[in-house]
Amino acid sequence: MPFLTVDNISVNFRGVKALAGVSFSVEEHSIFSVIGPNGSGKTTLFNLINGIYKPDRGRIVFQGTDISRLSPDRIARRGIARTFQNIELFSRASVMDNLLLGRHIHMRCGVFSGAFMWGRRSRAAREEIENRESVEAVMEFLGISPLRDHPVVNLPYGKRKLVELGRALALEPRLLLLDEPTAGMSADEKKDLDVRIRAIRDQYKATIILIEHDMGVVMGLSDTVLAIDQGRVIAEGKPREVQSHPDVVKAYLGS
Amino acid sequence: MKQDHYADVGLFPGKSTALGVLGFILFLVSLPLYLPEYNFYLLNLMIAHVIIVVGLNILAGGTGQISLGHAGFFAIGAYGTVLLMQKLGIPFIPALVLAGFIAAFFGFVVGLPALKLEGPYLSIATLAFGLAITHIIGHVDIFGGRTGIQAPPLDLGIPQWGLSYVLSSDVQKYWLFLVVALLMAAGARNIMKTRVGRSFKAIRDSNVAAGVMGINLPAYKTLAFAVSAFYAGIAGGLFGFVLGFFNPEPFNLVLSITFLIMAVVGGLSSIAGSVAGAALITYLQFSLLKNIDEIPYFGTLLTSISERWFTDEGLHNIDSIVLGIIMVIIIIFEPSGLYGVWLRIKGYVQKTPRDTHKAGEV
Ligand SMILES: Nc1ncnc2c1ncn2[C@@H]1O[C@H](COP(=O)(O)OP(=O)(O)OP(=O)(O)O)[C@@H](O)[C@H]1O
Ligand SMILES: [Mg+2]
Repeated sequence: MPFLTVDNISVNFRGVKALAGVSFSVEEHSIFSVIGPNGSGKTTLFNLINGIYKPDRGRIVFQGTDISRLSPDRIARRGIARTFQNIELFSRASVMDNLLLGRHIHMRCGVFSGAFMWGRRSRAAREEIENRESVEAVMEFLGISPLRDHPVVNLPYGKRKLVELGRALALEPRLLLLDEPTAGMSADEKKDLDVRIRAIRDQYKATIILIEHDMGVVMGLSDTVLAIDQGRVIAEGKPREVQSHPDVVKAYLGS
Repeated sequence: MKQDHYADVGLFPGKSTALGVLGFILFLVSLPLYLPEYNFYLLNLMIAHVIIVVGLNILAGGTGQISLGHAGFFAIGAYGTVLLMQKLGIPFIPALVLAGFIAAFFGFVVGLPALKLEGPYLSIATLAFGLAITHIIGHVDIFGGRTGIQAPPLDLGIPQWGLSYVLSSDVQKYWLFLVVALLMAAGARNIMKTRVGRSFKAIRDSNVAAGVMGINLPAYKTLAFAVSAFYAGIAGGLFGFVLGFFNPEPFNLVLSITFLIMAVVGGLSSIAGSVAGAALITYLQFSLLKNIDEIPYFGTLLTSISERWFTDEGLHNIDSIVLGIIMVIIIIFEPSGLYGVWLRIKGYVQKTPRDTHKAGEV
């Protein structure tokens, strides 16, 4: 049974066909890249997997269950996390609080145990301490520990991207969706991230779907590449095969 | 260096804050030693307002949802506490807590439209609730109708068992109210520092990201209403005993708006701000502005201006006008309210680089 299967999925926005009958499947522990020109439907695909949009037709099967009609929070609980193309951080909160929100599904405390956080041994305090420790480990891994108490609004773009990645990792995802993680980064930062993404797969045992425009990054990282254009799959396979596929070349030159 | 994570969430982040808070509490407890008794009616009123505004802040400052119906929950608390005591013979403390939960239930119900409505539309739904509640209360006999009801003696014991401890003076009530307010404020602060409060703030900042991180949006949006209404219910329960005798009239739309003004003036991002905002506005409304015409020269001048343009006689509208002006000034110059002003002062004094809206503050 494949880890994730997207089965003949279609979605329209007021007549615009954003995705039209897209199918593919992703192997566990692989790095799967999605490429395509601007407006081809890549982000829409993520929004469907996340449950932000509901498909008009088709199914998305994750570890044996159809998740295409579940709400985003139910899908998150199954271990799917993501970063956004345009960074969706909790802007008024600190780096620490943003990452702690990634721990939400692993925490239990409600209003009452929260309100009665009297002292270090209370249930809420113990939960906070435990989860703050695991967030600390994620920050360490991404090299953002010095930023822990900074409000995210004041951080430079590159750091905010890392914080968002950290928030997704804090969820301990089984499937991690990264929407253009290297956009706006310098060559050095890109190389850095390249290494980190590999480490995420190995250390965090996550499967990764990557939307990426930088062909260097895609070629170096991916086990499989999916190319879409105008909401349709035009090629799928090993990075080299897809890169030289005539339809892919045409789509990129034509755009 | 090993980080002490409890220091981040514990009630007192550092020794100096702990001392400051402790000193402030001692000051409040010892107030009856130097203030004459007649001040305590106003102080008790302030405390009731502080509690409801702290709760309103959990909703408005937390999730960003604006309620124009909080006077309704306030009324449920006031009537609920008194009726539970009178009709069912429940002692004061459990009656108060129960009334808080009844208000919370209504808060949950009023919060249901939040699942479909946003922004101004939601506020109008809460407004309708606030108006309906006082209307219903005014038309039902058990609530005393338009004439009103009399609160029983404030007995902390269980009178049926012969255990009686009646708080008769305003000063005695003040100590009780103070304890309740401190517990409620500490609770609010803890809620906002832990999982639930964090989720509220996440919803305010980004609905989409909150959902994707696993926060159940419908549940948390209605929960915020319920928690906020619980605070309003407790505050209302105390308010009933401040007034002693009351009818539906004070629980009107203007009161709901006044609570919002208190929250905004204090600063929608901080509990300390809510406390300050509620205390300041209550003082202005019920003390300073009531007696302002007695100030030599200035009072006469103000009266003549007012009689010329705003009222038929005296300084009838002065509090609405002043509150309006304060609100406009705050929104234009210091949107984080008194809390923001305090941060500024602290910044000047310490001369250290500061992050204005230090994240992690509620
Ligand atoms: N919520 C929406 N409402 C209307 N149209 C939408 C919506 N979301 C996406 N679309 C449309 O769907 C198409 C695909 O958009 P999508 O964002 O998925 O592209 P993309 O491949 O991620 O592009 P880019 O590389 O620029 O990020 C576009 O035509 C876009 O305008
Ligand atoms: Mg996109």
